[in-house]
Amino acid sequence: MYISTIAANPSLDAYAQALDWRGFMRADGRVGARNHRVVLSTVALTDQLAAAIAQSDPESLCIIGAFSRGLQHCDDAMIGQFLKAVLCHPNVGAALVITHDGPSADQLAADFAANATNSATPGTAQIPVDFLAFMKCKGRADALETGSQKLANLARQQSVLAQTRVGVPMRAVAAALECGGSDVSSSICANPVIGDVCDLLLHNGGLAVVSETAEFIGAERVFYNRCADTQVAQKILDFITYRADLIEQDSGKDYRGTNPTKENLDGGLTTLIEKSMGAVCKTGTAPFASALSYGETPAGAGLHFMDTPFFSPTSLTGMMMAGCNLGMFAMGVFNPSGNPLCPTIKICGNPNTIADWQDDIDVDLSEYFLGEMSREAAQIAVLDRVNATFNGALTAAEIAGEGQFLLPRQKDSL
Amino acid sequence: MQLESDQGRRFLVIDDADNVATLLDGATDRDKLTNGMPIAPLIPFGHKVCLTPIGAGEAVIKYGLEIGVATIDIGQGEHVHIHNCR
Repeated sequence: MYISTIAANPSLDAYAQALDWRGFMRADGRVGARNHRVVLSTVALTDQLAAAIAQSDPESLCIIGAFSRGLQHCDDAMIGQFLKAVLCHPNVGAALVITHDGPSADQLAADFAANATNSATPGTAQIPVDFLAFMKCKGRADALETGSQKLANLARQQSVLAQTRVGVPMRAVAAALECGGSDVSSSICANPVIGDVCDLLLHNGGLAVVSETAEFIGAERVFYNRCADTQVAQKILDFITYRADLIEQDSGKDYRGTNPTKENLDGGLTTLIEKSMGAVCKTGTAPFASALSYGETPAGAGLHFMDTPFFSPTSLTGMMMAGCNLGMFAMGVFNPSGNPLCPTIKICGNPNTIADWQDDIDVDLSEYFLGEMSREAAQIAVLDRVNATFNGALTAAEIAGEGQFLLPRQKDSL
Repeated sequence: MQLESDQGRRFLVIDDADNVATLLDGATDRDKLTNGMPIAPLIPFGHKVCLTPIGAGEAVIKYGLEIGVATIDIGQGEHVHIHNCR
């Protein structure tokens, strides 16, 4: 068992111990907070068919990435990594994979079968999976009919397998940590409270991933002091330097020299590290166990850094690929981001944002921001929503159907 | 009856180790915090106020971390920003 040395607020921990956590156990030991039957489109050519097939089953989740062909190897490999990550994701209970041509379907089926026999490692969910090659169908009507039948058959297989929620330890939570639409409220209210809850989850042996490398420019010293070893620290610093250099090459301006911006200074931020800490503080106080490349699966529990672009849908997709089964998203001004496969809890302390967007936010911390709620009550509000979401309560983003799957591109198409 | 001007400004301290607090309202005419601690007037919303005296060269602490260094002595209740911290 994972023994954590991370401190957590004792009274919050006592409160958390009394909560029930119920999820879907997978063959590789990971736990799902959802049991999605997904229709997975593997290339943009099949996106429309996948959506039409998914419409035949209101309980299914359609996953569309508008994936291109003719990509250079690194970008093509990223799509392959995405498809594997979805098929092995703990929140997926069955999958219908739609390819354009027959050989692609055969190859994916062979890859999945080979993977599924290796059940000791993460990424071997052993769920019912079926494949449909568009080009092997005899017309559009046949493609739609065949796909819908396959989907109905997957539902029956899930029923036979009796995939149901069972009691699991709190360490089953694998949280994606995200912030967007940041302002003074998110930097001193939503993010620090997410950090407290993150400490609690990690104290209990859970997993968390944080991304959006560019947010951490200026906070290098903090990362350096919070890494499990110097190799991890150096890797994170290299990621930060890489993104800072990219920004400089693109804009012709030194990020560190132009931040905090005039707008930041007017808002009360004095130094770059103060600005960066607004985002860093959502990671709590745990040491970083590893530094991951985009979409990479962490080797074990603990807090992990993932190098991603700063656009929230792209970074959330990367953390979903890492196996995160839910997300905590801090916002100042409203932001409609969420990952459909990684239920994303929107947490906000800005009273003006709450007033306008109450119907699309999960946790209202505006009373904490106004000094009318204790830090502990704010922690419990977030923890309660994490617990309810894990156990099946829908997030605002899930109800609204928000979110998308976006991968970064590195090179020009062929 | 409590006069409006008797009320203090709302603030938040993120970490127990912090020596600054963030002001949560724009009542810049008031000269104390809700806990009664006197502060300088005119500190804008979202800006920092000094909680305990910080000597020149000493750390300004927010999030439990050094976010800057005082360039001059900063007294309790004073505005902390680029004029006295870098």
